[in-house]
Amino acid sequence: MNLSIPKRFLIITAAAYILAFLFFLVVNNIQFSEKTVDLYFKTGWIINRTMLQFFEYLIPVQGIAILFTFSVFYPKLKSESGFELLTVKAFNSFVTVVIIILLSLTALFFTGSEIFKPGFHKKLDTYVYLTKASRAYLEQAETAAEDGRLFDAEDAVKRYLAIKTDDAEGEALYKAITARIENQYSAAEPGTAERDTDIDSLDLSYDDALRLAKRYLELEDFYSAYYYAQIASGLSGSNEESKSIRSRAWASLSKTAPSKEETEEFRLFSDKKRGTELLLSNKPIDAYYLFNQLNVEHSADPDISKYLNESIRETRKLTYFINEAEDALNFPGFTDIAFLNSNTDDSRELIFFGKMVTMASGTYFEDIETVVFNPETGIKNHMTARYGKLSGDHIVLNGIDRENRNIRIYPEYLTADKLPELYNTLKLNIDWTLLHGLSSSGNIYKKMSLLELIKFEPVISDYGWMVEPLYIEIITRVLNPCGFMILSLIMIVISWNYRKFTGRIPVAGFILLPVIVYITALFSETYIYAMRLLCSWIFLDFGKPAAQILLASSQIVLLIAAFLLIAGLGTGERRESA
Amino acid sequence: MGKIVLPPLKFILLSILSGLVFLTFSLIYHWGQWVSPSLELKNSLLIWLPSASYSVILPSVSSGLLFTFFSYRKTRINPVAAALTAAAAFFIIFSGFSYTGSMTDNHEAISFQPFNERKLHSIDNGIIYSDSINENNKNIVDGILIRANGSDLPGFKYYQSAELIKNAHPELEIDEGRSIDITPGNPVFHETFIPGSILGSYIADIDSLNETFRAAASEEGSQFIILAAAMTAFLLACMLFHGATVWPLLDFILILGFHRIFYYLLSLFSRESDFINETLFGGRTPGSIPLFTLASVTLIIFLFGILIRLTGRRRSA
Repeated sequence: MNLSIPKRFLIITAAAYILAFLFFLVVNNIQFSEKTVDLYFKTGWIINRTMLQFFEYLIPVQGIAILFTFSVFYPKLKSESGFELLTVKAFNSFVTVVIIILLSLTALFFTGSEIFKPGFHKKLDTYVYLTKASRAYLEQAETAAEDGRLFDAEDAVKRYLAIKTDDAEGEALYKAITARIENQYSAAEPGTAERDTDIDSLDLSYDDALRLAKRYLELEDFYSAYYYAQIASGLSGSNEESKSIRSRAWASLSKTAPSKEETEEFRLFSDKKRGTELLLSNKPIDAYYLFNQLNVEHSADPDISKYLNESIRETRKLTYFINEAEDALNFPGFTDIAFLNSNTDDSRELIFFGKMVTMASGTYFEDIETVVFNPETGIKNHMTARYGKLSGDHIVLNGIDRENRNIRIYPEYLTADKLPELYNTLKLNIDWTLLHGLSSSGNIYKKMSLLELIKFEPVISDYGWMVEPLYIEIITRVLNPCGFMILSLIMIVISWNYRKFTGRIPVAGFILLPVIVYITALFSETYIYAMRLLCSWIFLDFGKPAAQILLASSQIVLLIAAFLLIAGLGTGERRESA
Repeated sequence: MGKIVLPPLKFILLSILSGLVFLTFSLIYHWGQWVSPSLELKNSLLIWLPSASYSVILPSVSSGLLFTFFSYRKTRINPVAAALTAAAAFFIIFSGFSYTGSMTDNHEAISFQPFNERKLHSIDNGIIYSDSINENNKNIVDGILIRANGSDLPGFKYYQSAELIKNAHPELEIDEGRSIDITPGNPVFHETFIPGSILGSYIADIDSLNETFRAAASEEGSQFIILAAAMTAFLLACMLFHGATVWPLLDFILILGFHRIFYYLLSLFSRESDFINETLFGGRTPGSIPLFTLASVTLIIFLFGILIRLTGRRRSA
C-alpha cells in the first residue's frame, strides 16, 4: 500500500489513539476494586477513568504515533538507479501537511482536555462518594430494621434506592420493610378502635353528665348541652330528663345553625381569608401550613392551590423544607468549603460548609459553621447549623417540616456577644458560583476548567486562600497544549533523524513496544514537569509578570527552535540501501 | 591522536552540560519540597546545593556516555578512546561522590518566619486559631481553627494550613499547659512540585541508588571503588547496544530502557535486602547487595549486547 506520509500519519495516529484507549480500558478493568467503588458504578468508573487517562497520556501517545510514522513507516521513493531516496523536496511536501494536522490535533487536545477532563475528575469522585453513601444507607436500613425502627429503615432504604435504582437487594429489603410496616398497622387497628370507645365514654357518671347538660343549656351552649345529654341518655337510656334536655338543645340548634353545606362553605371561606391575611401580614410559614391542610381537604379548589404555591414561594425565602435539604444532600457535591467571608480591622468572619449540593430545587448546605472574631479580643459569634439553603445572597439556616409544624431546625449559637439581627440567615460576601473553588477536598483545581481558574485567580486571596497553587495550575494547563505541539515537532525531528536505514521493519521494534511507550511517556512527562518546575520557581521567586514572560518566551523559543530543526532536516539527499 | 582524545573530551563536556541542566532542575526540585510562604525565598535555592549535586552525578555520567557513544554509532569508537572515556566516567563517579557524599544541606540556613511571630490566638476551651497576613499573600488564614486533640468541644471542624510547617514545633503550647499536636500542615507548594507517577518513580529509584553510592563513599573506601567501577562497567556495557539494530532510535530507547530496569531492580533489591540475604544467601552477608546486583546485571547486559551485535552483523553482512 503506497500511502503518502500525511495519510500514513493519520492512520497511525488513529491506531495509536484506539490502542491507547483499549489499553487503558483493559488496565482499568483489571484495576477496578469494589473496595472503593461499587460494582453498580463499574462501567461508569472504567469509562471515565479510561477517558481521563487517555487525555492525560495523549502527548506520549501522539509521540509514539509520530515516532513510528517518521522512523519506521515512511515511504520510499525509487531513483533511476534503483536506490531508495528521500529528497528534501519530498520531506518538505509532506511536513507542511503534517504540521497542519498537528495544529488541529493540538486544538482538539486543548479543547477536549478543558471541556471533558474536569467532568471526568468530578464523575470519578462522585462514584466513590455514591459508593460510600449507598453502603452507609444500606447498613443503616438493615440495622434499623433489625432494631424494629421500621420507618427509619424505610427512609434509609429509600435513599439507598435513590442512588442505586433497580437494585435487587435494595428492592427486596424495601418490600420486606414495607410489608412489616403494613402488618404492624393491621394488627394495631382493633386497639385503636377500643381506645376511641374509651375516650367517648369519658368515664362520667349519669349525674355528672346530666348536671353538665343542664348547665350548658342554661349557658345556651347548645352543642355541649346536647353532647352531655346524649352521654347521660347512653348511661341510662330510660331517663326522661336527659331526653328532654337533648330534645330542647337539638331544637335550639336546628333554629340557629345553618345547614351542613353552609357551615362547611363558611369555614372554608374564613380559613382562606385567614390564610391570605397571614400571607399579607408576612407570616408565610403559618399560611403554608394552613393552605397545605386545606389542600388535603379541598384539592380541587383553585384558590387554595394558588395561595399554597404563593405561600411556598414566600416560605422558601425565610426557610427551607427539611426533607428537600436531606434529599438534595444525599447527592454528591463539594465538600469541606472554608473561607474568609469578611475581613475588617476589628472583625473577621470565617465560614465552613461540610458539603454543598446544587440541585434544580436550589443550593443546599450541610454542617455549617461560622465564627466571627476580633483578632485581639477573641470570638464574638460562633454558630453551627445542620442544614442551610441559598436564597439570593444569603443562606437560610432554619428548616421546617412539610407536614408537622412542630418539627423545626434552628441554628445553634455557641457563642454570641449579642443576637444578630438576622438570626436565621447567613449573608455571603462571595458570589456563590465561586464557592466550589474553595473546597479543600482533593485537588479542586483539577475539577475546574481553565476559564474558571482564570476567573477565580484575581479574587481567591480575598477569601483567605493562597493564589499560588491556583496560578501554578493555570501555568500547567497552558503548558500542556504547548507541550503537545512542541514535543510532537521534536519527535518528528528525532524520529526522522534516527529512522531505520534499511527497508526491513525491525521486529525488535514491535517486541520492545512497551519499552518504547514507557520511554516516550517518561520523556514527555519529564519535559512538562521541567517546564512547570521552572515557571513555578520563577513565579514564586520573582512574581507573576516574570513567570508570564518566561512562560510565553520559553514556549515561543522552543516552538521556533523545533520549526528550525524541522526546516534543517535532510539538507542533503540520503542514499539508502535497496 | 584526535580519535583518542576527542571522545573522552566530548564525554566530559557532555557530562558537564547535562549535569548543569540536571543540577538546575534538581535545585528547584529540592527547593520545591520545602518552599512555603513563610520561607525567605530569595536566597534559598543554593541551600540544597550539596544534595542536588550528588543526586545529578550518575544521571550526568549516564547521559554523557549515552550521547558520546551515540555520536560515534556510525564510525567505530577507538578502543583506547573508549577506555579513556570509561576512566573519565569512573573518575567523575568516584571523585564526585567522594567529594559531595559527605556534604549535607545546611538546613539551619533555611529561614522560616518564626512560628511564634505569627498571630496565634488562644481562645477558651482549648480551641485556637491562627491567622497571619503575609507581605505577599494578604488575608492568608493558615490553620483557621484547630480542635484540640480528640476534644469534643465545639470548634471549627476544618483545618487548612497554608504553611508547610516542617520547622520543628511538633506541639504547640497553649493556655494552661495544654498542647495541640501540630502535624505537618497541608504543604500546598509541595503538592505543586510532585512529579507525575512515571517520572516520580524514576526519581525515587535514582535517589535510592544515589543513597547507596553516598553511603558507600562515606563508609566503605575499598568497596566504593569496586562499586564505582561496576557502575562504569554497567554503563559501558549498555553502549554495546548502539548499532545493535537497524533503527538507531530504537537502540537509544533500548539503552534508556536498560538504565530504567536496572535502577528499578537496584532500588527493589535495596528495599528487600534482608529478604534476599535470607533466601539467597542463607543469612550470610554476601557483601554489598548493590554491588552484587551491579555485577550480575552488567554481565548479563554485556553478554546480551555481544550476542545482539554478533547476530546483527551476521544479518547485515
